[in-house]
Amino acid sequence: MDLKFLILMGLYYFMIYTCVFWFIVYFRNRRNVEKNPFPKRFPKVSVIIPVWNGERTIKRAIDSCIKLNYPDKEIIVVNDGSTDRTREICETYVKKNKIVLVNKENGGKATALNLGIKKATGELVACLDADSYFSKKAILNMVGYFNDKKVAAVTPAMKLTEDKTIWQKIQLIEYYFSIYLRKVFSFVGSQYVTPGPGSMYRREIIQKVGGFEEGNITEDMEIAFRIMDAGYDIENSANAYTYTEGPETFKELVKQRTRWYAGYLENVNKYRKMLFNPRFNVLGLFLLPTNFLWIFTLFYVSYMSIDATLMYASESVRSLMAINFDIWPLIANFKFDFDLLFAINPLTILALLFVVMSIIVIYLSYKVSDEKITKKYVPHLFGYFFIYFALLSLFFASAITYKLVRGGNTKWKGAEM
Amino acid sequence: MERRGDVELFLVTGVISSMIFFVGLFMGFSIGGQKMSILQNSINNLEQNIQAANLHFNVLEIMNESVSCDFMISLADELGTEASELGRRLEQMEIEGRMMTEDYTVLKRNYMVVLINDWVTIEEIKMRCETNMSTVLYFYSNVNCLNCEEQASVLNYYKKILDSNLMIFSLDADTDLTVINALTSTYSISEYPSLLVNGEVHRKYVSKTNMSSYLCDFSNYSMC
Repeated sequence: MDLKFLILMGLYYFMIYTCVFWFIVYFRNRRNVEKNPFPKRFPKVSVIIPVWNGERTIKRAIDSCIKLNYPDKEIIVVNDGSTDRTREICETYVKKNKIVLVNKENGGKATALNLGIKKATGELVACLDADSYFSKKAILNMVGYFNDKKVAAVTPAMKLTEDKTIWQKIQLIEYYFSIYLRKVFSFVGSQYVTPGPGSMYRREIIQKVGGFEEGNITEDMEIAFRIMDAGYDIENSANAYTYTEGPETFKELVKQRTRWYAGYLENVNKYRKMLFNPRFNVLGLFLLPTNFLWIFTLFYVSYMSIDATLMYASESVRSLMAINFDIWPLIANFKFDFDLLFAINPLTILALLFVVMSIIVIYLSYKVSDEKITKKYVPHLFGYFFIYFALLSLFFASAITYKLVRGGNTKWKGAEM
Repeated sequence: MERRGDVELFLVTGVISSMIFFVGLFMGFSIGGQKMSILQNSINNLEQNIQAANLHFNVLEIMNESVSCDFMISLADELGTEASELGRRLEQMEIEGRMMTEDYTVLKRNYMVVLINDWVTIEEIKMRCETNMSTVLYFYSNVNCLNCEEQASVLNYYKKILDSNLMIFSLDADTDLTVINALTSTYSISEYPSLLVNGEVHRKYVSKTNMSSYLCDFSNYSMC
């Protein structure tokens, strides 16, 4: 048996193992997926909204905070040197005593968040990107997790605000999948991102660990790694819904994902001591190492597909040239002689098993996200299965190039979300 | 949050994943084995049909009776179609060819032997009966052949046009078989692709135009 097939079989085993691992985690905890701990008390929550040139969405974000179903809250908007009408819009809320507005020079999202935390008076802080908004019960559903003193942060369940373009349709499924993943990761203490749109923190702990790292391109990932490194836990509420905007165009999507994945590589490199470290349990022993294997799988499968496509294309062109492009006899005498039995081989069976598992994952993702699979999701699912996986390797390739070109000096301009 | 029992989690996952993986693999290999046995049966059938045709010749010869050409030509047509169907299925088993190397090699060798027998029988029928059926013995190599892809394409093109009037027998020169070695040595073939078109040897790539003239020299087909 040649090496190429041995590698492929190894990767199939790895993919099956990973799916089964998270299925088991899910089924062991299935009764707790939608259950949130009842809050023993309702501590004051400071909602911090860092914003840079967010005139289009800031009103929606503030309004959602005002409408939050929570007894004791304050809203702090940190204007990170906006040059549009953001300040003007926020000041109308200040006049009504609805929010606290802090203006500062542009310095990046992490600086805005840190300033917000400094001004906050709540025992808990909730961060909200300016292009996102809370559902009414989001904070209420998350607060109960802070009954446990070891919990430093709680992440929400993020959904997209709209799905107009094909790129947003793909992301919609990806966000449901993330809701499932975040929940199962939380069951084994392995959440390594506390997303910008809606994560909550215990203020005392976040200040103790030094706040958000300024200049880090994915500060919401870095803080999660730091919290776990300090020995605290991160929980998740699968029904604390927050809504955020996904990139509309391919170019914007590539830009966003390049930042995310470059940030991932940067932070994993920074916290490489966690890799294979039993102190970090599933995160260190399984999740972080297998993420690298997933990246390898993506590249390997992409390489194989591109190689096969190029070979097939080149063979086709050569064949057509040999018959001087006279394809009419081939078309006129075409016979469809597909033989199902002969199309099946050990690799197609393993691929089929993986497809079945992927379908189960999608089903669970919809279930955890409290959504129903209907006909309207056909284009979304089609895009997710046929475009998204091909795109992932592109995102990683782009992220690696970005890291190589920019090195470690990556700074995101402004409070871009 | 699960803190204890993580070793158990890894182990349980390992057991379940291994079961799924090996059941999948077992199913794949079982189907592969089944396909091989179907092909082997088809090879045996073809072999029997060839033997029956040869027996038919011998019996008629002993009885001093003339051969029924209509019957023999239709038999040749049937033998050629069976052989090409077998070849197509064998090609579809490329994955098994890489994974179940030994079984596949045996199957391929059996196929090559029966294919050459088929060619000999059809040549015999051509000699005894007047027919415009062209035969091409195509020698290719998977190791060292620059134009085999193009040659296959040209042959496929004429097969589509001439259908049962053209019988192609593709021989893998890399197969370690005495009979193939004997053929390559008889026709002094050392480069690939090489063709034996209606008994005439061509030790190089035959283009579409040249192939057309070789076929048309043999019979006045409608395409000529």
